[in-house]
Order: sequence, then structure tokens, then C-alpha cells
Amino acid sequence: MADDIAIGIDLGTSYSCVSIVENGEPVVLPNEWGEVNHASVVSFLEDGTVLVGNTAKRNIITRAETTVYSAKRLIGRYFFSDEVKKAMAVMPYRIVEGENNSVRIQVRDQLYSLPEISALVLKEMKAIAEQYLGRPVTKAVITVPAYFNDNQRQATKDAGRIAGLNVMRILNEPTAAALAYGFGRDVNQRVAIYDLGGGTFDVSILEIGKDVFEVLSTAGDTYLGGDDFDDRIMTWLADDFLARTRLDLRQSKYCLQMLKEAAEQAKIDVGQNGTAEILCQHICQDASGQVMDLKATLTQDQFNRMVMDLVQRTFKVCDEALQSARLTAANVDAVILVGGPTRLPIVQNSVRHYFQKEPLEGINPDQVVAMGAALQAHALMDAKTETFLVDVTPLTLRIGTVGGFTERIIEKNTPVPIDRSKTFTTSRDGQERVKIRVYQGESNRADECEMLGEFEFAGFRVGYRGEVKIEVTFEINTDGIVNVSAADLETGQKTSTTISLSSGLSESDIQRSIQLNRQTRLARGMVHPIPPGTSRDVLPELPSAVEG
Amino acid sequence: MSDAPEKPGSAAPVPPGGAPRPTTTQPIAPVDPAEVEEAAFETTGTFRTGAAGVPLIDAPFPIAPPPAAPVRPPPAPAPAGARPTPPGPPRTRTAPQGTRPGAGPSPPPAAPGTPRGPTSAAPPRPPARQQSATPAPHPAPLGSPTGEFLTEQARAAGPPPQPGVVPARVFRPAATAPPNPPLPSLGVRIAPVIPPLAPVKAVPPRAPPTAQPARVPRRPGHDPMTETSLGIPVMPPPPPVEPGPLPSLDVRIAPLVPPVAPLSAGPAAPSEPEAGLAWKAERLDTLDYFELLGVPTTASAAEVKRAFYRESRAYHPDRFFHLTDEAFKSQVHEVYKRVTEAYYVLRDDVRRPKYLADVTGPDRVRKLRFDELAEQQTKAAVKQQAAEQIGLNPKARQLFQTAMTELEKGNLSAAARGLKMALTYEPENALYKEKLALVQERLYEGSRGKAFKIT
Repeated sequence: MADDIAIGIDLGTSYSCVSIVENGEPVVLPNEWGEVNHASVVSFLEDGTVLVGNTAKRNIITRAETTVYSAKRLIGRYFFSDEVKKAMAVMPYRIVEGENNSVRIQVRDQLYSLPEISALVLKEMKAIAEQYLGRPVTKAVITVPAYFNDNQRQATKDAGRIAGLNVMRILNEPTAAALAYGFGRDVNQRVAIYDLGGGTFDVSILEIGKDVFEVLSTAGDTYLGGDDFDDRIMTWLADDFLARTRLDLRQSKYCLQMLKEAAEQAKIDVGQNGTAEILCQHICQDASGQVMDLKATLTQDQFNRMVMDLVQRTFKVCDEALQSARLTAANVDAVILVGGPTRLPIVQNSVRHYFQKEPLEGINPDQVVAMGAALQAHALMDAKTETFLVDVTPLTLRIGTVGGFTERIIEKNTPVPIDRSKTFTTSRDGQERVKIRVYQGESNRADECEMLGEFEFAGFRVGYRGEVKIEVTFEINTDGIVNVSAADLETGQKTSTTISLSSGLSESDIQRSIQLNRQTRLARGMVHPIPPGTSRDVLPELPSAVEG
Repeated sequence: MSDAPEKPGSAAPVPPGGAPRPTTTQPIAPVDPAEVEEAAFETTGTFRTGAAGVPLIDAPFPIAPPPAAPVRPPPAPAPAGARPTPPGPPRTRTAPQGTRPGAGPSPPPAAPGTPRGPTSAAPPRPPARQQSATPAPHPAPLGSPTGEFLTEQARAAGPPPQPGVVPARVFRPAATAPPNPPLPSLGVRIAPVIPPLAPVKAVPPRAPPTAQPARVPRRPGHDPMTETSLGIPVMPPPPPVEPGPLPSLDVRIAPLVPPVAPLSAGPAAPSEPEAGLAWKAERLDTLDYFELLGVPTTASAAEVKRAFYRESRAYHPDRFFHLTDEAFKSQVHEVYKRVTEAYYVLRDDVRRPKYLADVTGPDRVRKLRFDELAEQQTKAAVKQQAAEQIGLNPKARQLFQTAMTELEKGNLSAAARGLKMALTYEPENALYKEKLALVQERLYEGSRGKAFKIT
């Protein structure tokens, strides 16, 4: 009977959530401590076990080198991408380059790929579900931001496989949110999903008819989220501290992490109480060995001014999404808020003002996505399914052409699954292989798009140049994942396809990772916050800032 | 084909379809079908409740049932009859059908047979009816629904789509009932359809020959597809009317029918959703987008969208996700991919006219899919259109624009001068010429007025 249950997992940048459908209702599953939001943090302990979740989050400071967080920012990326460079500057753990321009995380002597890291988070989610249900779970629906490109989706799917899950569907987060709010029963409605998460912002416009969900458009900003709000508070705190003590807290990763935690808490307090008292005891010591505390008070007004531009940026993205759907804010029938930061009054008020509508309430914005995923998982398992998601591809699929330009193959916001063919011809006599690069993005310049991979076709008949015609079919499936295949137009013969450049894992890599993941033991119970052999007394000593 | 038969058995849809058939026995049939459908509803409702998640738990139930209930009652008789009809076709193809044929004839005579009569005996009656209700002839294909005829015709011509569609509908009935809100128009269509059906039956014989030509007319009639879904339930009504006279007719016609049935029997599968799928999969490369979505070439954007949603409900891969038959699933995938492709092209204001021109042109066979070439041509056409409107030459465009502002200000002679200059750069530009003619006319009229004054 292990087969009749499928879980829904919201694999978030900062927090993850797992949910199942019980008696027709989605339920978010708690772990043994009753927590329902689990930090997407993986901490590799000294004894070889792995700690995941909120307890691992506490290790970000004390075991900085061996604790990996925000892996979602790096998953499915090339080592040379800006996001990876940015992460390398900020993250305390070691990010190194693997083969084929891939990204690896080095923990002690071990290299981990990003899907392997995420798989550990998924393993924890799976364990939570199994503990709750008392039986094994093998099937899951995992959500990703609507804006995820093919590499990222594929890598997420790989992570699921590595964790021993059969990933039935990669579901877009906004779509999941709409499912959780139970749309799909009524007459056509247009719904905007405003998803401000920890690291990313997405907005999607859905048109929901009876049983059919159509994503009209999605737009997003992958560099905008609650973390940026925290950053603003951190900057303010650090500048303030610098002005008062001439010590720059940003010089030390340890202080930075403490600052970050304080800022996150302050943000939440400001949202709930209108004001926040910030106190970081013993944050550092100065050159003379004096231990310093950080104290500050943040008011709602101050906070609003700090983040107003960030909030405004979300509405630029909303404009984009509405425009792409050929709608105006007035055409939207309902607004759904997703993500913790949407609890902030400033966000809620701005959304209300922008859409001229009261956002829907009733489901915890942290959990709504996981619940939707569980509903979708349930629907897929159910023979009597009556709800279908008609999703769209969020990014234009392109192929590289001469001179560093690209050509559109499948436009963004095209419903999936779909395929499109393009005919290529050889450019040299006797040519045996054809190479094409596939990109996703909205620019016609290749370097401004994300490269999905380089495909090489061989096995077609050899002839004079221009004589051999190869039809390449690009398919985007219901997971939003791209498949490319090619056939000789004249003979109909399928040609072999090899991917010569890709950020993904090979099948053998995945098999190895599955083994590794299976052998990895998840740490259970409390872990001493201080790694053995470390003295809490050793505080970072900051050099005085240059006087100016 | 092998897939199709299997599916019915294993697939989810089966229950609805299957249930009705057995119940079809004349007397019971009416009641059971309705019940079955309702049951289906409930299930959907429950599911939805789940979907509804926290907030909506209660809502789903109330909502779903109400629509169903109201709708059903009135049509109740019809649905019952309707259901039987669909089964009718099946008889020919499957074992149950086999039994049916035998049973079919005898039942008609019986009182309960009334509902039945139409389906099985339908052919005979039609003649009588037809004369009175003549209009029906063409719609007949739909009515003929008895799977056999349809399939045959369908293959060759437009009718085919219906068979394919019909199966899909089979589920839908359940779903459709509630749909009332979305599909108000459908209700309207259905009514008309019914009359035709009765006559149709009589028609069957000719249908086969017409197959090919049929296609073209069909499209305009597009309704067939939509109607079919609704149509099925509708069909029953006609039967009740004819009970008396029909018996005798049945006898004569009966012979005719059997021959036809065998022919279509092979392909007949369509009545089941899966069968419809097989049917569609087989013809994927011969249907144009309009046929695929079951809309007329004149369909509005809203109709296209509705059709796409309808097809999504029938063929979305998620609906078959729980199945293990990979071959079948890939077939679903192929069909659904084409459906989305059709929607992608037909919903687009620019691509659609181009596609319409392609498929109604001589090259139809090669242009059923909106390929790369069509895409390029469309792009070029758009560019050219833009160019024609404001001009290709930047100098000419500039002159034209100043001329237009002059015209707005009332400086006719300045406008005329500007337009003449623009025409020296682009002597062929129709827009420039037209504007110039207009300005000159006004200039002429103006001068005439002045001349009059002066004299």
C-alpha cells in the first residue's frame, strides 16, 4: 500500500514544507518537534550524519564551512553564472567548479553536486512524511518557481530521484497556490499569485475555468525576496554600528550571520508588532579585546522607508506579467499571497493598492504551496481526476545562431506540453554532425540568455552541403522540461543526440548519488550547538575601519 | 486499436461508460444513466473538496450537486435515452454490443423500447420523421451516432471528429452537467441538433459516400463537436415520439443497418474516451487545428478557448497519469501536444488568419501544421503590413508624418506637398496615394468655394 500515497513538497530557498492529502484535505506535516516549516539547510556533522532543518540552521554560524543553505539559488546553474559568483562572495561554505562548468559544494574532502544537497533536504521531507504516516513514501510532486528554467527543473527532478522519490510532476509554485485555494470549480476567473519568498519573487496570472488552470503569464525576479529585506536591515545595523564604533561587522562571516539572524527576526517583529528591538550580545570584540553588543530599535516607518523600493520593484514585475497576459490590474478577480514576507503590512497594503482588491486569506502563506503540491499529487494518483493543469512555459526557448544571436523556437507563455520543429541543413560537404545550442531567455543575444545545453546530432546521411535536411524537434513536457530530438527529414531516420554541454548530472552520476544518499544517515534529535573543540569565547576580532 | 479496447476496461472512464450500457435495458436505462452521472459528479465534488483545500471544503459539494440536479431532471428522460444511444454504437464493436444487436430489434417493439427504439430502431423511423422534420439530414451524422455510421463517415469526412469527440464527452457528461455555467451556448445548440438526429438515422446510407465532401461543410457547422458532447444526451428525446409507427419501420431498416455496422465496427471504438483518443491519434496528421479542437473556422476567441479547455479535460496527460501503459500514455501526450499547438495558433490574432488561409488553400494537406515556414511568412507579412502602413523609407515616413500633422491643422496645401514628396520616395505606397487623393479633393472643393465667393 505504499503506492497509494504521494506527498507534495515545497522545496523553498529558505524553508521547505511537506504536505499530504488526508480525507480530501491537504495537511502540512510536522516533524517530531511540531515544526511545519523546515529550513532548507543541510549541515554535515562530524560523525558523518547529516542534519537538516531548523536545527541545522543554527549551525550556519558555528559550522559555517560544513553547513549549506540557499542551495536552491545555485541548483541547475553553470559555474560561470552571475548567481554563482554572487553566492561565492556571500556564502561561508565552499563553492567549487566541477566538470562541464558545473557547480559543486565542498564539505571537508567531499564534493557534492547541488541536486545531492537538495536531495538531502528532500530526504528529510520524505522522512517526516514517513514518520507521520508510518510507512514508506516513494512518490512526490515538487514545486519550483514558475521562473525556473529547464536546467533548474531538471536538476530539481534529479534531486528527487536521488532522494529516492519518484517525482511525478514538477509543479510551478503559483499554480500550486491556486490549487490550494480551491480554484477550479467556478466560472472563469483570473487570479494573480504574488509570491514573495525568501530569495525570489514571482507573479503569475492564471485563468481558471472549471477544472482547467491556464497560466496566462508569469514573470519574476530571481534576485528579490525576503532576504533582500533582511539585507537592508543588516546594512542599516552595520552602518550604524560602524558609525558608532568604527568596526565593520561585515568583515567577519560570523558577525554577518549573527546580523542576518537579528535582521530576520527584526523584520518579523516589525511586521507583527510595528516595532522591533534588536539585541545581539557579544557580537564581536574590538582590537582591545572589549566585547561589544549590538542594540537597536527599528520602527515600522523606518523599515518601510528601507524597503519601499524593493516593494515597488515587485510591481514592475506585476506590470510585466499583466502586460504579457494583455490584462490590467483591474481585470484580476482575486489575488493570492504566497511566502512569509507577504505577511508584512507594507507588502499587503501595497498589493491591495496595486490590484485594488483585498488579497485572499485563510491559508498560511508559508504552507499554501506545499498544500497545492499535495493536492496535485493526490489528483495524479486518482483515477477519477477531474482537474487538469494547463501550464505554460515561462521562458522563450531559443537556439543559437551565428554571431552570438539567438532565434525563437517556442515563445514564453505557450501552453505545454508542446513541440516545435525546425529544419537545419549541413553547411559543409560530407558533414557528419550538426551542433546546436539551446537557450532559454528573453533576449535575442545569446550571452543574455541561459544556455540549456549543446546538442550534437550524428547518424544522418552524409551528402553535399545544404542537401541533408535535419528536422530538430524541441519538446517541452508537462514538467516544463525540454527534450530535443532530431530526424533526417528525407529518410525519417532518428539521429543520435548527445548533450555535450550541460549543467546536469549524467545517469551514472545520479545512480552513484542515489547510493550515497541512501547511505547517508539523517541526524535526529538535538545537536550540540558548538562543534567539539571550539571555544565559544573566541569571538571574531575586527580590525578598525579605516578612518576617513 | 488494441490499446483502445483495453483502456475502456482498465481506464477510469470506463465505469461511467460501461455502467450506462448495461443499464441500457429499455426500461431502466433512463434512470440508471442519470444516477451514474450523478455519482460521477459526487466523486468529482469530493476530489474538489480536496482541491478546495482549507477554505472551500463545504463549498464544493453544494456547488456541484445543485447544478447537476437542476440540469438533470429536465433532461432526465433525454439523458437516459441519450445514454442508450451512445451505447448503441458500441454494440457493434464489443461483445456487449453483439448481444445488443440481437436484443436491440426486439426491444423496440416493447413499450420501454421507446427510448431504445430511437437508438436501435432509429433508422426506420427517420424516414417518417424526416419528411416532417427534413432539416435533419446533415446533422444526421451526429445523430447517426450509432457508432457504426459515424465512424465510417467520420473517417472520410468531418463526422469522424465527432466519434472521436464523443468518447471524450462520455466523461464529460458528468463534468458537463455542472458546466452549465460555462457552456450556456451549448444548450442552445443542442436543441437544434436533436431534430436532425432523428432524420439522420434514415440518412445513414448516404453518409458514407458523402464522407469526403462532408468535411468542408462540417467545419462551418463546427458545432458538431460541441454539439456532440451535448448532443448525446439530447438524442433520446426524439425516440419517445416515434414508438408507435417505428416498429414496422424497424423491420425494414434493420437489414440495412447491420451491413453498415460491420463496416464501421472495426474502427468504431470512438465511443470510449480512449477510443476517441486512438481515433484522434490515428488521424493526427490529417486533421487541421479547427477540426482538432472541434470549432468552426469562424469561432471566436472565447469559443476557441472553451474548446481547448474541453479538449484538455479529455486528453490532458494528467488524467491518465495513474495508468501504467506507456504506449497509451505517449499517445495521449502526442494528441494533447497537438491540441495545445492548435490552441497556440488559433488564439493568436496574427497566426490564425495566416493559418486559416493556409488550410483553406490548395496546399491544405501540407499546411495542416503551422510550421516554421508559416511562422516566417507570418513574421514577414506583419513586417510588410507595418511597412505598408507607415512606409518603408524613413524619409518618406517622416514626410508622411509631417503631412498628416499639417492636415490635422488644416494646412491642405502643405499636406499635399508633403504627400507628394513622400510619394517620390515610395511611389507605390497605397496609403500615401489615398491620402493625397483625399487632400487634393478637399483642396479642389475649397478652391471652388473660394472661386464662387470671389465672383
